[in-house]
Amino acid sequence: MTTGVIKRDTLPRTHKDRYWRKLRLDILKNKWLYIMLIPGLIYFLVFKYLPMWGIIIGFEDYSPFLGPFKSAWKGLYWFQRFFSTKKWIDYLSNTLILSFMSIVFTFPAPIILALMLNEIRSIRYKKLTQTLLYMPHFISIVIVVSITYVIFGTDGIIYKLTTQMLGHNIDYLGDPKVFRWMIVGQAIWKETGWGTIIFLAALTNVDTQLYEAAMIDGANRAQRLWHITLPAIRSTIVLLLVLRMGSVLDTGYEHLILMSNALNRSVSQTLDVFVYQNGIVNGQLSYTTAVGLMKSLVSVILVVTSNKIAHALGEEGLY
Amino acid sequence: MAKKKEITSVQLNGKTVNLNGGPVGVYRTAGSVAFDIFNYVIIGLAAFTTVMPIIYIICNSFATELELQTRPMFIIPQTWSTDAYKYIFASNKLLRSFGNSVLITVCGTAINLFFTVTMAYPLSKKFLRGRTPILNMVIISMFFSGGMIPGYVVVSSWLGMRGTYWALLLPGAISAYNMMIVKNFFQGIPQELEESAALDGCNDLMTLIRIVLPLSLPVLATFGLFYAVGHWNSYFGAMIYLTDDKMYPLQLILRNIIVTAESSASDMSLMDPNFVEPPKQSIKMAVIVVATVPIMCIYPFLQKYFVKGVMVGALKG
Amino acid sequence: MKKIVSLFLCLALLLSVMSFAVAEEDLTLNVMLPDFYSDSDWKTLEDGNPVLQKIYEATGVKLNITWVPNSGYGEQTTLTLADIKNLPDIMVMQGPRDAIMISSARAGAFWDLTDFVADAQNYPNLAAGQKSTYDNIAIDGRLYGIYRARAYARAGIYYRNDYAAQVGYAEEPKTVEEFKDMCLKMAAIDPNIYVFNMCKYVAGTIGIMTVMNGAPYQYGIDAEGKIYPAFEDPAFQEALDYMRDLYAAGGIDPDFMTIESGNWNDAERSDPIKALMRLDCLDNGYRYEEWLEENKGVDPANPVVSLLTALPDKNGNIQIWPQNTGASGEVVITKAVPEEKLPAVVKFLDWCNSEEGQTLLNCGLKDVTYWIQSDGYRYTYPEGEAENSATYAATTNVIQHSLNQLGMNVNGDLTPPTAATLLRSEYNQNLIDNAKYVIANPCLTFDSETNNLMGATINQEVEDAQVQYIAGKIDLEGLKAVYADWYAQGGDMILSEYQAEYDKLK
Repeated sequence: MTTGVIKRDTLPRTHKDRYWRKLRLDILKNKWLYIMLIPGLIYFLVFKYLPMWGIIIGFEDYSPFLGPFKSAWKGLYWFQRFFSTKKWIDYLSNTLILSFMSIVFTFPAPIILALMLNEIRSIRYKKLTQTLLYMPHFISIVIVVSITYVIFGTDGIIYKLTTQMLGHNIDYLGDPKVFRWMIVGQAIWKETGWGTIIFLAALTNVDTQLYEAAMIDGANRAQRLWHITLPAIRSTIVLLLVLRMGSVLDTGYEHLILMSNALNRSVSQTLDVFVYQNGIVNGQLSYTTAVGLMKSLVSVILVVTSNKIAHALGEEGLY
Repeated sequence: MAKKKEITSVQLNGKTVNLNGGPVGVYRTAGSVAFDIFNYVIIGLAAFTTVMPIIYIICNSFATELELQTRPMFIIPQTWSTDAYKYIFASNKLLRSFGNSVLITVCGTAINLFFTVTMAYPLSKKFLRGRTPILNMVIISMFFSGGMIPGYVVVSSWLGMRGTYWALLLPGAISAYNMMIVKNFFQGIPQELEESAALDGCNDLMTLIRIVLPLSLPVLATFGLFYAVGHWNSYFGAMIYLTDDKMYPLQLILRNIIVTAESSASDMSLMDPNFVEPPKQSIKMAVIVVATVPIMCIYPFLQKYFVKGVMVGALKG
Repeated sequence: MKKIVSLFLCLALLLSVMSFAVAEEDLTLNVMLPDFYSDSDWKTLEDGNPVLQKIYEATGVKLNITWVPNSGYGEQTTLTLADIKNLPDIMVMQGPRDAIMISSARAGAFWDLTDFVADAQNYPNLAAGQKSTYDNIAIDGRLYGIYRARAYARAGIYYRNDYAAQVGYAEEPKTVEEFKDMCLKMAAIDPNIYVFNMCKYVAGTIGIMTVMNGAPYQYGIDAEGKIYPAFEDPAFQEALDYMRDLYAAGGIDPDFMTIESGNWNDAERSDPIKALMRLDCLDNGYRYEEWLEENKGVDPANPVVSLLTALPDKNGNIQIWPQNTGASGEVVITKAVPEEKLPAVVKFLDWCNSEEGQTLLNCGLKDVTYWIQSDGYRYTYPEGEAENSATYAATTNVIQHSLNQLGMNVNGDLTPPTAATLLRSEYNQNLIDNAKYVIANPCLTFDSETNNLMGATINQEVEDAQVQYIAGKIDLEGLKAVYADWYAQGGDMILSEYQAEYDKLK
């Protein structure tokens, strides 16, 4: 227990007393840290947890005018209706396939690009290309899709090029087999540049003296990359990957609806698109909320699980 | 921090190798040069593909309406015209909304950084009691939400913020996603630095302000940029909370100009002589230029914060 | 002295009673309207808006308008209904059969106006509205709002008669069969010129073609009172087969299903022209003609665009596809208005449909926002100032803004007429003559929960299959397989739910 000069009558008598005493000491020792937490805690309580009563909407036949307490109770009705639509497995599989492709291709792209940018020595060239590379982030997806239509359509330059080079046509806009690659390709084009910013910020933390020491030890460029650069951003990569797991069921609807047409609809119907068409457009608030709740549950489970896996592999993870 | 003496060359296996003043130095083998050329070319090509659409939009915004309607996709207009911009700037409402957007972006980003940093720093200390429950609470709030309606009722009815800019600035004060990443960056700062500051008599607050923040400039610049872009591009909060049209930000007005075209003709009045004439293509293009070019130009100014080796020497110095 | 004092007192009493009486008339209404001109400022009544001032003088009602950008009006409706503290007195509900309207009306958010509308003595303008449209917007047989009238007989075909003349159709075709023949002949003019201009949004084109051919709209009721989906009707399949033949003959752009609806005009306006005809709203037809006159030097006296509608099919029936239900949403009075003020508010809505009210809401004030020129027609700028029309439009937008969104016009257009080109006059005449041929979805007012939760998706699959069928990508077997799927995935349930409602009525 404690040693030192302690007055007899202030010795903690029981475990409980000791616990509270330690608690008070800890809080006092770190009082500035706790004070700093206050604004953030208030924010989360007021703006995130207070509105959580909205979760009830998924269990009622909610009417905004009646509010959550007077709307009719439906229990698990909306969940049952969702699973009774025979196609929900198709929507789920479309969602998962797109997500998987996105993680495999879209997630590593900014990392690779950041590493490549890092190797550029001319500061001016680097600044210029960086600024140009992140521009697509600011163009709305609507414009990206209409440009896609123009250059990949049958009058478009890319269509004509591939027809010449390959001998047969690729129906970029209509073929279901090409659809997912188009979506992933557009996402990569649009967000990779912007995505490098975080990794470039992480790379500034790399000690340049490590590089010099490595060169003196005879390391070539590839070895320097593998042993110094990558480990420096490894924790950031793992962190972003764990967070990314939370959005596995999110595919967004705007992009998919814009790119889908009568020919490729079978692969473009994901959960989000289904919910948008039937729930949001039709004003079915409760149905939308119910499906959203299921997605949220899956997201949280995935994030917590992948965080535990990260810990098991010896990584920092999320927390 | 003492200024390091520049090492410009090194003895390696009997050869003298020049180190150029770059990030990783140069070890001039044939493979290295080939990689450099490959790298420059690929990045150059990628930058070319990403900049072409912007050039397309900018050039098209200077084309006449007739050409846009009759000619299939082109980049350089045959006749140049500034009609679209004249139309946009004819109303001083757009200039005023530009000012509103700047105000919202600047104030919003300051609020964001304050809340995010003050929350991320304590949570980066693993010894802090209560850290795990708080982090759990944050993670759950990232994926579970009450939805749009309760959020609106809380902000509008219970807090009475409807019609003010507070409704735009406060509900988004912290992005849990951003905060978690900033927290991880803080975790990466060496313990020795903070301990030496504590030995010098700093409490946690002063440590944060005097030591940690200056070292975190790239991180602050990054997330400041993310938040700023988020504010600049957002319109939804303004759309549902603002009642006085003099307070509208730029994006809301511009979005309305574009979306009105796509709305069903049956929404507009039978008697409206202007009904359903969609805004001209050139105006749509000009609107995009006005809305996005300003924010695109911010990054070059932030470049100087992304400087390497800011921390190097802090331990030695 | 005493006499003067008592006289003075009497006068004061009289004045205060009068002002009290006048104050009784004064009504401030909070109104929420969609805004189509959010890039213009808005002048409020306090700032001296002359139109609002005139409305106040005529009715004693002060309008306090909250403008919501049209792009977000749907979301704002839901949020406003949830935020009861700030509920406006009058608002526009889009639809008119949107789910939020139906559920909120049943929840009691709006006042029941059925009895007011039936009262022709006190509310003559409201009572003069179209009964069929009132029926279309009724929920459970009661009226919860006043509809905003829209052109009902809007759909039809517009085509380039100069190209039609090349294949021997200098005169408009008189029947559906003649029309089909004309299209096939026009397809042969040039392999790069298509006949039907189609895009991703095919509902209109397929709808117009099938309904014109005699099929019902969305659902039909057969002789035994059984409800069936429109695609089961033989006339529907016949029309689809015709479109498939036209596609194969080169009359439709092979990639039409990838064209965005925002680019629908391109095929007609591009240089060289790519499509000669569109099955769509006829007002797009006169707009096309006006564009040609402005940009391609077409002579206004000899329009090259012809409007075609109301053609008899091979059984002699005339059917027009309903582009809308005759209404674009409705104006509702919410429960924020206390019951004792309700008659006054309804009276105000009635006044809005009078000639004075319609003119003020839709056009504004004479010589301030609109002008009657020497030819007797209404213009948006004064005589001889055509080149400054943009300036006048800018001022009008500040004063008038989107006030016409409150316009209901249930009893027809009573505003001063505008000058009409040849095609516009023909279009306006069509609206009057052909309203009787417009058919409706018989299940419009029936509730089907399965339709709410699944309908959009399974109907989309059917439409996609029809597009693929037209484009020759699948054959009749494939199409029938998709139809069978429609039944299996929820179509059966929808039909039984509709049938139950229909049987209740009988």
